Amino acid sequence: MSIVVERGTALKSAVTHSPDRVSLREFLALIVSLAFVAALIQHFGLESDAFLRLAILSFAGFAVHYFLPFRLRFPFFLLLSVSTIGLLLGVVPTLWIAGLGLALIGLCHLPVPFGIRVALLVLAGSLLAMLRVDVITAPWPSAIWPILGSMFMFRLVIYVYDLRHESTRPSVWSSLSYFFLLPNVCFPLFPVVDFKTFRRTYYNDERHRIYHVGVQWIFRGVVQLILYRIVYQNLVTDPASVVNAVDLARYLIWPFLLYLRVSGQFHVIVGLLHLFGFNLPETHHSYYLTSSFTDFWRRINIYWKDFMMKVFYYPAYFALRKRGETTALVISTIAVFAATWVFHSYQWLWFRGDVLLAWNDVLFWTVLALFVVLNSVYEFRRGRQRVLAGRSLPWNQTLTTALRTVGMYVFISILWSLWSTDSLRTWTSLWIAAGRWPSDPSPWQLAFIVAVPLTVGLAAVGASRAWWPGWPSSIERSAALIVVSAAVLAVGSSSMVYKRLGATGELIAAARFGGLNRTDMVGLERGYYENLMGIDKFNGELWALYTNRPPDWAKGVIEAGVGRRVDDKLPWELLPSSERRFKGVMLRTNQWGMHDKEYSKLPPPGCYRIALLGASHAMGTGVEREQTFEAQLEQRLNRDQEPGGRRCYEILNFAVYGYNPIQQIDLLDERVAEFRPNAILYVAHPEDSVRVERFVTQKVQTGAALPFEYLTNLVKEAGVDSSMPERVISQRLSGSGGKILAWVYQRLVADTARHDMCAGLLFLPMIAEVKSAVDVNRELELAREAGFSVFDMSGVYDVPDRNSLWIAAWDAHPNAKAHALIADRLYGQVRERKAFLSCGQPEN
Amino acid sequence: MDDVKETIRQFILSTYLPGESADNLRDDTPLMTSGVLDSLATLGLVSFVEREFGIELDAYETGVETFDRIEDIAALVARKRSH
Repeated sequence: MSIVVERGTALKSAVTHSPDRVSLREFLALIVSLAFVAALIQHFGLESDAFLRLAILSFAGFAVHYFLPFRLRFPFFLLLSVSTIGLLLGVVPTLWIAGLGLALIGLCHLPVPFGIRVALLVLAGSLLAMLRVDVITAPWPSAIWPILGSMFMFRLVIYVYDLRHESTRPSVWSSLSYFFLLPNVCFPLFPVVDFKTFRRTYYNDERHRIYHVGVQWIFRGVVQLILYRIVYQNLVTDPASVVNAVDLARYLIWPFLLYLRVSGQFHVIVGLLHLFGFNLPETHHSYYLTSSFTDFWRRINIYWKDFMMKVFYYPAYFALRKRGETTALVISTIAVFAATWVFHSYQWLWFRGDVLLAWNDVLFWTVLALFVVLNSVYEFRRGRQRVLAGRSLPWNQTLTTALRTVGMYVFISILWSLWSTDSLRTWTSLWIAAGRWPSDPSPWQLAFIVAVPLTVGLAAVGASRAWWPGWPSSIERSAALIVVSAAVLAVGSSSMVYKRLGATGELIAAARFGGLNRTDMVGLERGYYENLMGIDKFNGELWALYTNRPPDWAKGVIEAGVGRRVDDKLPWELLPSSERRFKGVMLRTNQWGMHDKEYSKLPPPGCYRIALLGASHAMGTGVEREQTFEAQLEQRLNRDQEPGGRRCYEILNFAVYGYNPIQQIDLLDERVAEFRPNAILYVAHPEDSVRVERFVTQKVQTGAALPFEYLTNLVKEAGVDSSMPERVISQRLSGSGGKILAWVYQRLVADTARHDMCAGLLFLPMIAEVKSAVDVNRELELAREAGFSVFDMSGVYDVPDRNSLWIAAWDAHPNAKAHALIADRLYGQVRERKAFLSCGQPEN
Repeated sequence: MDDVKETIRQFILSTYLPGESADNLRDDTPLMTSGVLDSLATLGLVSFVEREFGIELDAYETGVETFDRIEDIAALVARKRSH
């Protein structure tokens, strides 16, 4: 059987193959490849949980779709797309998306003149925009906005344009499938698929070749998403850390590399569509290897370029060419960039619900437009070197191309850093550092800064000389390559391997860290695309649907109704004798507002009392109060008494969700001391020095009063106040975390001694492994130097599947199993450290 | 029809692929999808085709389905001439 997909849209070469040919051998090779890709997504925890579910549903859907008769495949794809939206977002949001979508598509087909249809669409769009910015309250959940916007904001423009110009009417299946595209449900940032191309390429080649390309692209996308993770976790720095030329070079490198996430997602998206017969073209083509501005525009986000060419560039050029070709070229190119800028703000509106108007955004597009215009005019008049596919350039041209490519890479990186920095003022202030050379530059940093452009240059040489081997042409070999590569990536990033590889291992392991990097944790630079893709940040409701997270999970202590504000010193306290749901469990507090059982205010005679201080981990967020490590430790100490031991031990849990180390000083003075404990056990975490520095920095930036004289003097010495730019405050206080933490520790130890108590410090790592930005061992040293008796829990979470220790897939607080591990380790250490259990003034 | 193809082939070879053998530029060699014809080259070719064959093209007729292969362009020229 041969096919013509839709009359008038299929290319001539498309009619020579059979879309129903079944090959079990090739099918199995494709399925094995997809199974390994799914395993990689799961192993690295890429993107959101919704991505893994989408991948599994799509791959399973492909297995069914493969055996369906050709005529049923389009309806099946539509059914699968809508069902997947329903499964991932829920019934109500899906019905809203479907209803609104059908209404918009219906407007395109109203039996009225074209101009009226366009006017009605503009009217509907304006009404939706008012709902989006909350001028009018929308009756549907806000989670649907990014998905609805992604499906319709650009595709409607193309659809209407093609309806106007195409002679053949699209089928209902193709129209509906075009808007409700399967991967859209978890990728709001989506390539602008052209409707004509969507119809034209449907099974326009031998079906297994289309599927094969799809699998390759999905794999390529997944690898790019892993590389993005490595860049994101290891390279990203904030402007405050830029003090010399090497820092500046590093700062300029990372923003453009973060684009790997966009290209990775786009490859996955188009690859998934290939599995259902849509033989769409490549979305990005080696965009780090651009050798000119026009070349950059052609290689990066090719679908966007094609959209702009089709709707703006060619119509403008053809309308203006009577005024001269150069004039037409210049005006059309400027029109394209103006439209690109406007549409990027328009996209921001639908995703984020506000208007993007930033000078660095305007400047980025203006500079790019200027260079593309100049480059276009030059090429239009002088031409450029072109070669047929698969041909190599001679050596002299290869070297020139490589040099131009390195130059372009550096220029685009600088321009991209401007786009990604929060303000133009911050970006320009960075350049002061260019004149300062570090006194003791790290050879690794220098090597890395040289290695990036060098790699780009070598890759350009390879591409020009056609050295790069292509992807295997047989599906079986391709499957073997994917299986081997996936296995290498999975084994290489397992804790058993990376922990033996030192610094290189940490770099690799970063690929598995799904959380925020250190820079983003302090709320700094993210850039345009990072801001659009960080759904956890801009649409918590959608993120909750992606992760299956209960809607109230994100609530803090006050919002969840488990705490109340008290005074200026402590941010809040837990409500006494309360029983409310918090982070998935019943948070039951005693009469003193502790997540603990009841205790008398004063210790019973003969009881040795320990006060546990800390934050969420110590409080036992997400676990029952009987499951916390302190409750288990207390139980074991009382149960397994050594001969001649005390009659009872009490551990009172004073820890409260959200308290930072500085606030523990007030907690000790205000609340703990009156309970007359014999010892305190403060629960510290890696990077507490970063947390205390951030606390002080934010206080200064917001002009809030600092709680202790020591901190006020420290800020005075640093010469900062709230009138200064945030970057300057951060920069001047940068590195003070260690000093502040040392003071906190000394103060805690001194205060406990004043109250005749002993001071213990429990050093508890995080379950989610994040590469530390500071020397964690130094933090432990500070605790020891201050006089703490240190209980080091490093490695306590080293189990084969660390993620199984989280309280939920979206929350890395330790669960009951993790608390049991801590209790076990701590019990052993406490028993060895007898002095800690016999200090203070025990009342025998 | 063959004359049209040959004229187009010679224009592409001399303007965009100098030094390339005519044997390597077949009637069905992809031009747009392989990167030989980018937007600027397409505009240059449009001007050439209009001038050479006395036809007028519309912006919508410069897509991949009409300009990706020499045989497609020749077919477009034939269609336009017959109108």
